Amino acid sequence: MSEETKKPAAATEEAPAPVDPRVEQANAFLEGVRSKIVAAFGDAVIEEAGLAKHQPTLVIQNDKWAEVVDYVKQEPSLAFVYPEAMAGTDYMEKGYIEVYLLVHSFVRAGDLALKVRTPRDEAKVPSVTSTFPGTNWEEREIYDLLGVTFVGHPDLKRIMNTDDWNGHPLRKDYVVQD
Amino acid sequence: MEVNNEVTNNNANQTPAYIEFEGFTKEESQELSKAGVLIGTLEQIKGWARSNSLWPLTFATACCGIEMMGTGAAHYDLDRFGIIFRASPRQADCIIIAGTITKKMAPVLKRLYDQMPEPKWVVAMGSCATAGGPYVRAYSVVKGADQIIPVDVYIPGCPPSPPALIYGLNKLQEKIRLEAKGKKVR
Amino acid sequence: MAEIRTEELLMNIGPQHPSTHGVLRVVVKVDGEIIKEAEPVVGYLHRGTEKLAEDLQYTQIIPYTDRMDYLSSMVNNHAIVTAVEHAMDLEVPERAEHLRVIVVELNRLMSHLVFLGTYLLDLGAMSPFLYAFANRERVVDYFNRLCGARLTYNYMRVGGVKWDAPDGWIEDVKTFVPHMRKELDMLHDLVTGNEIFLNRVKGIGVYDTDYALSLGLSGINLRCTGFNWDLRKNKPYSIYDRFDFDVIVGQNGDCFDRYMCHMKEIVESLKIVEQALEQIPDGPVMGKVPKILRVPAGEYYHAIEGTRGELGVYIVSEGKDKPYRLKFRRPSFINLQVLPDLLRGQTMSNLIAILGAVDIVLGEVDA
Repeated sequence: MSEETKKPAAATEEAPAPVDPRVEQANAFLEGVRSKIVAAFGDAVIEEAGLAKHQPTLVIQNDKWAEVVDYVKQEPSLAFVYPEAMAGTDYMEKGYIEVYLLVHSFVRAGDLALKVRTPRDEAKVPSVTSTFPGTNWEEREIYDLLGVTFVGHPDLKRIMNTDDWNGHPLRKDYVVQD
Repeated sequence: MEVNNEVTNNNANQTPAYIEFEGFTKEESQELSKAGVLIGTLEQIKGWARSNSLWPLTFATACCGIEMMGTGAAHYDLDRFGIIFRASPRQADCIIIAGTITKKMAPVLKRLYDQMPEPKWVVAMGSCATAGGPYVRAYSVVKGADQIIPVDVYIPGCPPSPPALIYGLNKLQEKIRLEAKGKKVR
Repeated sequence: MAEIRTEELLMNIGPQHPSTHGVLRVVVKVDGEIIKEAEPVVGYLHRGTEKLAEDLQYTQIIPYTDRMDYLSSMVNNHAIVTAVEHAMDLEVPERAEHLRVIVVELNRLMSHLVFLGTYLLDLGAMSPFLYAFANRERVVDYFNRLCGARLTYNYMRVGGVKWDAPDGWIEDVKTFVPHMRKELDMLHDLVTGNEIFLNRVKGIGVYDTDYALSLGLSGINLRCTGFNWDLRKNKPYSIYDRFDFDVIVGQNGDCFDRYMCHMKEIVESLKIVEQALEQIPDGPVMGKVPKILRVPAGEYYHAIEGTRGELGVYIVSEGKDKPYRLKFRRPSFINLQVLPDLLRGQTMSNLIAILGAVDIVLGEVDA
């Protein structure tokens, strides 16, 4: 899900509409990161790029997910070493499940949101626990509640529900059994 | 004389406490126990002793647990009622279920209840333990602790304030004393 | 003398245990008294808040956030209302902002007092628990007068707060601040110099900043290593940039540092409350918000400094009045992952000390 910049460039009056400085800053940040990733991995690895309310967001290709995440952590000029949040969302109509990872860089003083998509039927995402050990339980929670298998996770089992639970509760088509 | 006490704790069909005397039928024994002077008084003394030294098991699941701790702390003291919290179910005679019971926790609760020796009572504190509370539509919540174990006293509230918890515990004490006298308490 | 052969024993520190952090189960493999491996099992309080939130309007979700981290309900309320306000670009009136800061900082103080009481109760000391709870009762009484509830306040609304402070409330809270400072000195006298306490908590559960950052720790668990990161200063929200307070950092990253950080943060919270009480203006307490809140379509993430770390809210909205997906980034859930690494090689009694110092609340771990 990408959002275009807040003030559209389609200005029909004489003077261009004033651009929000936060948007400019966010765009500059996004471009800086994007160019580095594209330089390292090629153009195809980034599926979408944009801002989500001043938050630079990149959608990464599924099979390169772990490498890109590792790259943004290890690369000294990017240094996104602090994983802040990880979430999974089930987009039932669009047919995919999206995993969202927010990382922070103290060097660049900003956040970056990385997302990866996987089809709903056989949801598989490479695990990033080797890069960020703190995502271990978050990935287990996404596995438990949404059914996404994280390839390479050291200990993937249900965390919130009992081990013999049927189904994945946070999916949109889950029916509550009593 | 054989003393055989049966004090049951289920809400449904309760048989009041009575003592079986040798040589008499069950109905005659019950009559004698109800009107008895010595044995009846003994039962009442036991009831008085049990009610005034209820030792609950610490079973705090969620937010109600904090209110339970607050009731046990300095401002609203529970020790003046003889209530001391015990950690092991073998040493407790009542269990105050404070908080939500989830489907993962339910077998644990059942096992703890089974581990407690007779006589035992159960207090459901808060609306989650009574009937599921604000989480009644959730997929992983048991809708009330009485689906797992029999409950004696229900205390409503979310969370119930310490005076409410103390009122509930006083009600439990009354129930114990009344049961000892031989009356059925619902 | 021949070596005594010991066997490893798989033990369970069950979901019901007297150190009142809630229903946490730790499965440990012990060899004698030394722990070889520990694995926490959570989920015994999973109530499905995130799934329920998909069926509720934003204002209706606020009571559910109260019950997540039930020791600091105001902070949870604050997280979700600031997230929705950030998403919708709403203005909050000044008086409401000041009231919010006062109650949030008082709540932080209350939660730290509970930490103090229960941590020392775990370690075996009974009296600090009573003193801590006695002081907490005073603040609970103020909150009761303000919003009618003792524990789950449901006080904040998107765009402001629900009720204004009753007459005399501000003055009463002003008398509380010097009282609490004296009480804090008394608690320090009682606890901090105690030799037994120091022996039990100094030097155990140590980790460094790189480990903490890679694990995503936040709040006191990150600052005890010496790393200065507080969302109130680094990513300011609400009106925190107007107040003058310090960020408490530790030095060694052990349990004693975490304890001292908690105690010093109480002092900082009192400072903020004092300044906010001075500066509070008159005015309305609820801003101009539409009757039915519709967050514009998109995704938003906003985090605040909760009592246990970074409490974040991730909203995916389709433009309706109910969120499509609402996810809480819960600090206790992330902080608890530190346990298996810290416990390797420790004795069983140190397990209780380390677990207590991580300061978790199971309502937040399981949501």
